[in-house]
Amino acid sequence: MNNFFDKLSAVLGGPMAKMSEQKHLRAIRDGVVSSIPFIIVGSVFLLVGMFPFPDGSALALWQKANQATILLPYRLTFNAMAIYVSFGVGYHLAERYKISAISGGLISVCGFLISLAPTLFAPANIAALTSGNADDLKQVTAQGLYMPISVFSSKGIFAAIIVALISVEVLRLCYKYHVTIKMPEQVPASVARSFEAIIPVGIVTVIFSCVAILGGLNLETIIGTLVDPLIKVGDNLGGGLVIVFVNSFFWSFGIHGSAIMDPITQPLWLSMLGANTDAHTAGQVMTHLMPQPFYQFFVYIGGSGAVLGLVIATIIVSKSAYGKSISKATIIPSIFNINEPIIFGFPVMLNPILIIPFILTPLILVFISWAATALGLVGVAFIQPPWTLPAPIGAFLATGDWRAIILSLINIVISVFIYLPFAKAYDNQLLKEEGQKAAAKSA
Amino acid sequence: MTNVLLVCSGGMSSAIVEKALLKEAEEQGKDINVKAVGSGIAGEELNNEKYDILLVAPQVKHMFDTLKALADEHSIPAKPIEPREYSPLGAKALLEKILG
Repeated sequence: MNNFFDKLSAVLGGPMAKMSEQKHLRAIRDGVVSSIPFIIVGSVFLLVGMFPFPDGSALALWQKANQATILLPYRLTFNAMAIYVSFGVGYHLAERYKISAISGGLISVCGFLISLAPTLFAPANIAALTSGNADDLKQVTAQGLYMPISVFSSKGIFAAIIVALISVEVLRLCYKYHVTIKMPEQVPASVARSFEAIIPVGIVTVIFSCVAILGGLNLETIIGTLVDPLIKVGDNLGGGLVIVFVNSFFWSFGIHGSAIMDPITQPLWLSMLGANTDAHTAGQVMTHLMPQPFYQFFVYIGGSGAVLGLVIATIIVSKSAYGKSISKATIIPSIFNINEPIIFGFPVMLNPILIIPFILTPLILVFISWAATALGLVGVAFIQPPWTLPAPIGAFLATGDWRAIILSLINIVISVFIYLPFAKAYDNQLLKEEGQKAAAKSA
Repeated sequence: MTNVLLVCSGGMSSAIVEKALLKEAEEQGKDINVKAVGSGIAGEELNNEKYDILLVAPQVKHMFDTLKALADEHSIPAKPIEPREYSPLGAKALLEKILG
């Protein structure tokens, strides 16, 4: 059995894991992840602004009167995620190339902002400018040129990523072929660096000006259309099952499954979550049932594999000394969704008994949670709480729906039941080994 | 004093191992200093502080080559952490690896 796993790991796990180490993919992952604090902080304001206070209560009235103001910080953090992602991806890619990371981040933001130029001439703005309505006109012109901040939202995230990759490539090629302005050696390094970036910044500015301003091409719309099929694939039950299976599959070899898939799943989930919050704040129905918090708080309870169920099951059935001590040592991290001590401590990885429920449980939980959400029994997630929150609390905050707490608890119970027979079988094996050791010692 | 840099995916699970490791070192009367970080900022951390050894968590072993290259730049050894060592109960073996 172990031999089989070794082979599978060598043929599939290893190369795929290596692939995720590819510079651009890693930059996308690290860049998107670096924007998460802004998403979480923005979520707090979103939560306050959209929390379902009882109708007619003082809090509900206060919320209604001040909603636009409360949501402003959200709009400039969470809902402006594309700017942060742009800087983050550019910074990390430049870092991978070992060129000035700060220049990489800044040049990406530059390229992204210019690529947004067509939205300056968005139909709504032109309508306002040409309507002859003095108030409309005043609103647009009073702030200089007007750019709707919605273009910084999840809609722009894929364009931000692509533009960042292109911009940093320009930067890298300029450095590589010495297409830079050289300063005399007496000039301090930081000053010299900023001069070095002049030509690459110029090239990026010209490229995206040609595309967006002269060409009138709207990269957000074009790239959005291109990735739309990807979103559709990731946004239904089938896609969810695949995502969860691949994740468990990698963890079965002890490889961080979610980190491997992050370059694809993180931008995807972020754009779904952003689309949900957009819809929700506009009073529309949220259509993306499975953004990241869905997995985090309904499926990966205790971490990938829903291993909180394994820990609880082991506490219930274990008679072996090791089973008792490892389950007690891992219950607290598991409540906060940190599963490495379990994966490597029990261990789950390369463990033929425990891998079965480890792969099975998340699949079943995805199905149940998807069905509950699709049937409207539980609210759709539109807020991003920190992933280390205990699942029922996180589920409540993510959806603003108390029924999410119940679903999360039900899922924990289900996972315990699935894990129970396997935990028992593994514990019997441990007991046998411990008995043999004791016998060998006394002999 | 041995300065240890522990690298995992996000710096969360290694924080647990860090705690177990410090407790074990204290019990044995060994003087070590441990910092746990995510793989994304390992390079930065090595530039900012002086470390004696870099340890790579098992779930990011596919990044070992990348991280070892970073450690090589600073002429310090990089070692992978074995699965069993990466749990609250594995601190003893891990400490031996660091000091051994």
